[in-house]
Amino acid sequence: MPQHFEIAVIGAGPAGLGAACNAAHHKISHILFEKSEIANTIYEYQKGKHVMAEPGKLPLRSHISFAPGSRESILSSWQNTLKEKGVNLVKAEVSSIKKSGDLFQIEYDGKSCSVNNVILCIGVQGTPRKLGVPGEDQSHIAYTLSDPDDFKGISIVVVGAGDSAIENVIALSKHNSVAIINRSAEFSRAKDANVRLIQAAIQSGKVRCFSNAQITRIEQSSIQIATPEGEVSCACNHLIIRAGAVLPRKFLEKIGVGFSSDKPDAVPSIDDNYQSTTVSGLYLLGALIGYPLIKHAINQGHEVIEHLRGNTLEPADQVLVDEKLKHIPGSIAENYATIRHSLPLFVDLNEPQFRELLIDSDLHLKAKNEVIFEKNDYTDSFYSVVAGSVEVLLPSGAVIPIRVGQFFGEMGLISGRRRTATIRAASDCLLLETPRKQILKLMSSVTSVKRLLDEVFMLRALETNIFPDADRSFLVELTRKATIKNFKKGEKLFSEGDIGDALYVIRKGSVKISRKDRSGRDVCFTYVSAGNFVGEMALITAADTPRSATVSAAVGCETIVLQKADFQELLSKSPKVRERINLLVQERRVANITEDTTHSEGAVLDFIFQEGLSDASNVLVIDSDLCIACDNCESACAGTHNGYSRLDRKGGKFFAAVQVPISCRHCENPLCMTDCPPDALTRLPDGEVVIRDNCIGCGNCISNCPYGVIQLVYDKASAATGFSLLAMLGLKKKEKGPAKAAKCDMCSDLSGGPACVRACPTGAAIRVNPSELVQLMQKKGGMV
Amino acid sequence: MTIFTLIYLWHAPLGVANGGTGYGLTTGTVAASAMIFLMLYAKRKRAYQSSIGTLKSWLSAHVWIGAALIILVPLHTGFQFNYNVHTLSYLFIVVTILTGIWGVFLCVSVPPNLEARREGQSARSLLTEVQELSNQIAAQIKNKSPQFLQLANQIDFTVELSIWRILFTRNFLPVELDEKQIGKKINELSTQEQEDALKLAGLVERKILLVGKLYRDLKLLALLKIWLYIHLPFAVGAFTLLIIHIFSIFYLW
Repeated sequence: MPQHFEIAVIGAGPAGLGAACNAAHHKISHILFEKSEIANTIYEYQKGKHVMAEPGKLPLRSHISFAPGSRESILSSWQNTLKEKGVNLVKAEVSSIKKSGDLFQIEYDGKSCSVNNVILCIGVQGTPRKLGVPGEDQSHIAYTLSDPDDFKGISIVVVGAGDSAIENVIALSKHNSVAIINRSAEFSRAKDANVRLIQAAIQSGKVRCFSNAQITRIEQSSIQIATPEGEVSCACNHLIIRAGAVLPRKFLEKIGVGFSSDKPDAVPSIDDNYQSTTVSGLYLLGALIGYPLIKHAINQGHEVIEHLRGNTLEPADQVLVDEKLKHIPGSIAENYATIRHSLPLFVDLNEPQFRELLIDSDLHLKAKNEVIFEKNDYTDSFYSVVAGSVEVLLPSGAVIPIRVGQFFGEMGLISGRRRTATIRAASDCLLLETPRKQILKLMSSVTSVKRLLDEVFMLRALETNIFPDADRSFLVELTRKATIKNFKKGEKLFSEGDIGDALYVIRKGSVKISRKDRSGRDVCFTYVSAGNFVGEMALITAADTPRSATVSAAVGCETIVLQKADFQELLSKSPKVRERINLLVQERRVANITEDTTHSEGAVLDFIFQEGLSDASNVLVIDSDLCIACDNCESACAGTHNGYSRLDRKGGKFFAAVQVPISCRHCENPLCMTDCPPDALTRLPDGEVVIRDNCIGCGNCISNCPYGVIQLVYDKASAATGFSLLAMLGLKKKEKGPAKAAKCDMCSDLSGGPACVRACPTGAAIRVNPSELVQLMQKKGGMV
Repeated sequence: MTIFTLIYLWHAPLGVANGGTGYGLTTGTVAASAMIFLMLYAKRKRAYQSSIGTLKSWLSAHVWIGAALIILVPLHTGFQFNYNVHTLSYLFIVVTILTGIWGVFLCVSVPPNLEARREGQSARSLLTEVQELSNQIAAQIKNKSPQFLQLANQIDFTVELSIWRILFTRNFLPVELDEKQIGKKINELSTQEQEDALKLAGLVERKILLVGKLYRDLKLLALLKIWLYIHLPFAVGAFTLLIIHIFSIFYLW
């Protein structure tokens, strides 16, 4: 007679642990199966990896604890809870699940048992995507990497182009010869910081890279790779395949689980209680049903047990939703439904995604004529209009209305940019204000959000920049034809003398414009920042006109490209726009003649671009003719910031007698902000970019900053204080606080302004913006 | 200061002019307060949170008020100088002020003369470049004939960065280079090594140039600090003697 249990939980990941612990807590007879390690996905993270607990505000309802922390601390706390609760854990692989009558028969390791309910939470990591090439069944092939230090002095090949592949390659390349195989030409899926790391490693020759390549055969100590140049062989003692994971669909279908569609990314169909719609008594949780986050999974595990105990639970985040809606007149349920259905941008979000969005956002009731934000503000949140309407006040005096269901503030999504226009309430209205980070997250996970935002961005960029008088239909038409194109730093958008065939609206970054002088050298004469456009001259003149200047990306740029052919075709249908364009052409012609740049001025601008200073908002410079090298600026910085100076007086570049020491310039387009997991980097209303206390010390900003101005420091305040003889004698290790990123904060908490400048005895240290810097450098270089 | 001097000329005390008259006491009090203010500069310099004026204006006041003391103190004494603690304290004041003036002179004249800076380099980047050159030289003499190594030993040199070297090096030339002799030695090498030797000579030449520049700049940078090592002890000494002076005047007489 096989054993019988009320509940079988298959897979001891977060969802399985959440379920098993709740079952054990209520003394429900249960069995928890795990074929390898508890929380195996986390177990196989790299040693010491910081595990995050997203979504941050979602309450955890479980008998198992979970807070952000190191891989090790989380694993050991879970092990302890399992023992305390007396969870019936069986380390075995389940070979089959069959339903006969009301009971499930489970076979494992040659044994079997019967259960009333099955909770299936096996995740997707257990089924990594395989390559499907000959030789893939050998023992030196792995799909994960737990400790890079296990390998030394051998040849390792990593397949994949995502973050995990890159992280593995970088970690392994310290002690091994490593090659990476990328199916495509670029590392577009990975985080920017990782892309930069892998590119640097490839360029320096540390890592060999095969692009547009695929493995064709795996041998004992080598592999065959198909590359665009033909088949090559590469030494390989250890192969790591990081090609993502797939849903174990065949396995699920064998049990009888139905799917929402035949598409490869379809998830099993389930009811509100996570119960399969085709097999009653079978519950599916976590990554299997599209919830990859640990906290969601733990909660689901808990909720399923409550459901089986006959309790109906509100969603875990209901209190938070109530909190958000309580100050809005009317019933919470009705208001929720209104918001849910009035915003087309968020219609494609699933319920939990939408609830998370709402919880992270704020609802504002605004009276008519109230200003939402002013032009040039540094705020970066995103607004949707739930009720009423607002209007955009353009610098030209024109007013663009934004109505229910539409949104504004999308320029703020480009990190750290100033607001381009003032927004005012046109009537009493209800607005949903969402932090930039949340929208960026949605853009990367929900394709419809990204598509819609891109379209509206283009439309508005064209409307505010070039065609304020054009009718909507013309612009919509134009937007449909426009494409988005990225340029790397230094890459040319077009060269002087080329035949102009397109207009570029700069969406992100900035470009520099240069022209050849008599000696044929490129002399840069101005730069154009995001939100503006270049190349319109050649585009709007009817004949083939050569470009009058070279335009290249000063930093990485994202541009919207309008092709001349498309444009001319639309223009012929719209005489009003044509008129405005003609005016614009004349203006530019006049400007082109008056711009007479000398060589030496070009040298100043060149320096400024080279050092990325054109993007600075406030930069510390030292007048070398006055600097007496007393280092009081550094002492002052250290003295006001926990003993660590955030500026390096001796470093940095010089132009004429002006030194730009290594110190934060508070970029207009701060690259440091692009990939901060806890969103600790932020911009203050006056433009300073600062790091808040919730920094986790991950170092992303440090690798993202091209100017080397951010460093990891140990918080001296939290280190052990007081007198200790042992510590003095060096017998006791000093305890260090957690490392956090630190950079110039412009002494935002000091009333007198930056300490470095105030502490300079000779007035050599000053803070300037780029145009003041140009003047200073020209003066010092004897050009004025 | 002019006012004090005019009053001094007008003021005709009965008996001997000294610090004990009403005028003497006034100037004495003013001078002592000035000294306290001058010492406070050291405090203000390190008070990074302070927003009482900028350090630049403090320094300016420090210089002018300090310089004024050189006249104010003799006015206070009625130009009485003797072999005693009072005159000693004035001597300390004078040395402090003179080193201060020297310091001002250095701080104004040195920075524009720092050659590396003018050329867009810092002492640090110069040093890195010198190290880079040394590495290239080391690579150049790898696997070479003994004759080549001998030549390399003769012309190459190690960079010494001791304070004495830096302060007392004029017209830096590490080794006496006899061009004829070196030319001869190069000719004795195999044709293959001759080219490398010329390359080596070029590298060493650049190294000499850079190290010379480095020494000059480091020397100037050292000068920017050295005056302080005299100024500060004498300032502290002058202040201590001032206290002794006041104490002895009021309690011992």
